[in-house]
Amino acid sequence: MKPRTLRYLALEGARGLKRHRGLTFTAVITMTASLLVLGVFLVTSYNVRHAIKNLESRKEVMVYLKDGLKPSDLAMFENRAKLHPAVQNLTFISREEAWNEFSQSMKVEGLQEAVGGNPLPDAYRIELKPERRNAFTINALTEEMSQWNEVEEVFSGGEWVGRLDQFARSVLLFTAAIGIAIGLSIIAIVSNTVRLTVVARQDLIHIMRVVGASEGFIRVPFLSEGVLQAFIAALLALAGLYGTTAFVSARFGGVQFLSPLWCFGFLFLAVLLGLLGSAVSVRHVLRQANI
Amino acid sequence: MIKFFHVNKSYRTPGDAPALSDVNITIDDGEFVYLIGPSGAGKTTILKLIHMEEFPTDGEVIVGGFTTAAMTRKKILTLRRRVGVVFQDFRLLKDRSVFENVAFPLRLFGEYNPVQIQERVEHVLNQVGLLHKADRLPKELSGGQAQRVALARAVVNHPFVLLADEPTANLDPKTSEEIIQIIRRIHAEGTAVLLATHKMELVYNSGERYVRVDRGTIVEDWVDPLRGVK
Repeated sequence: MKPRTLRYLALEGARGLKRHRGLTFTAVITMTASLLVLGVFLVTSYNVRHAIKNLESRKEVMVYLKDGLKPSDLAMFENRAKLHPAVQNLTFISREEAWNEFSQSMKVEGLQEAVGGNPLPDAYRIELKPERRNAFTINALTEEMSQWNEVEEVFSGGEWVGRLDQFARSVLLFTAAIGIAIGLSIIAIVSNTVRLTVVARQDLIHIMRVVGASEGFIRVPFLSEGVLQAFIAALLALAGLYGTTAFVSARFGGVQFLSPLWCFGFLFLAVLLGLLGSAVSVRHVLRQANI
Repeated sequence: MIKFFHVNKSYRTPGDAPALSDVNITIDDGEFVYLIGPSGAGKTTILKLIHMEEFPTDGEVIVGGFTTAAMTRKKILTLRRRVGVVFQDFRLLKDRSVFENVAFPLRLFGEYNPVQIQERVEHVLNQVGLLHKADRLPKELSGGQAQRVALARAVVNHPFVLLADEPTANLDPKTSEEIIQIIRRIHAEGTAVLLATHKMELVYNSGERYVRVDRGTIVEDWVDPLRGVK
């Protein structure tokens, strides 16, 4: 196909949008509504994933030390802990710091006098490497560190971590299942919408056939039209979604819009759907026409 | 040259009579031939076989060096670019101007630059007397004008043969006569014409060769005995 022809055919798709304004309007609105449903789903799962990630970053292990340890004991503990493959970072919290934090959070005057001194031990807050933030590693680390001489007690909230892992897995499976169902419905809707625009223009296909146009020639204007419609619909859906997210966030707070990468993925997916929808529809019409 | 050798054509409906039975015709380059017969006689099937929209069940059709016995998809497209077709219902693209309808086959294959397209389209529109309507949409044209646009589109790509399937069926006698005159002018420039019609009155006094089809068989192939002598 010559470049001049390809340009002409691709522009035919763009001109088609203008020539069939009513049809284009219907197709774009239908696609926008479908993509908006997909967008709402994506924003929801994006926020759920974000929340889970946030919770996962809080998966840490608190190690409470025995009383009366020398600085050399602390240094030895730190060195051993840093060498552990699951540990990313550790922070020393002295009993004084812990007490200050505790008493500030309790907001009660003269608490130390009431309990007869600072009962809290020195401690280390251990941050885990992101890929090791799972119940199995945390439980193993807790058990291992409990055996160390310097350690009085280890707290990791193992049960809570297990539940969070299970919840994250369930959310992942649930969103995958819903995502597939929504994706399939949208493929069907977009494909049928594009098919309407193709079927309405069978005369063009017939004349192209009569004058000796190959199937490749015939497809190009419809593919370019399908892609353009899907692109416009995706932009409208994203704009609608942004407005809704901003409104909900201002009202209730905490809802995030999709990241630029997710937006790009959304546009790409919509364009791909438009392309597939028009390819399937033109193929169907060409088979039916059988000229 | 177009040749039919013992062509039979049956559509797939069981129990139906064959659309064509043992058809043999030869149409020379630059010839004008009427294909006449009642509706359902097989005229359109003959045109479709020439255009290779259909293929014979038996026998062979040869069109401008292409044979139905050895056609590929690519060859069919090449053939169609050399054959002009007009239909009873015009089949114009309703959403674009007369100029764009005629320019469509030229734009489609990218063989002409915009200046050449402009010149060629203006030439054929002038030939059919519709240059002044170049910017109009098909809905603004009468039936006769729409058929003239369809003729302009059919010949814009210099076909060696023009197939006209009942081009005057929807037109009044005066307009029909105008269309026939335009087709004659196209023929005079060297394009062969095969014109299917059921209007016998167009044919009998024309002096042109006619092939009469009835129930799928050729029942008469008349050529003026003085042709070539006149």
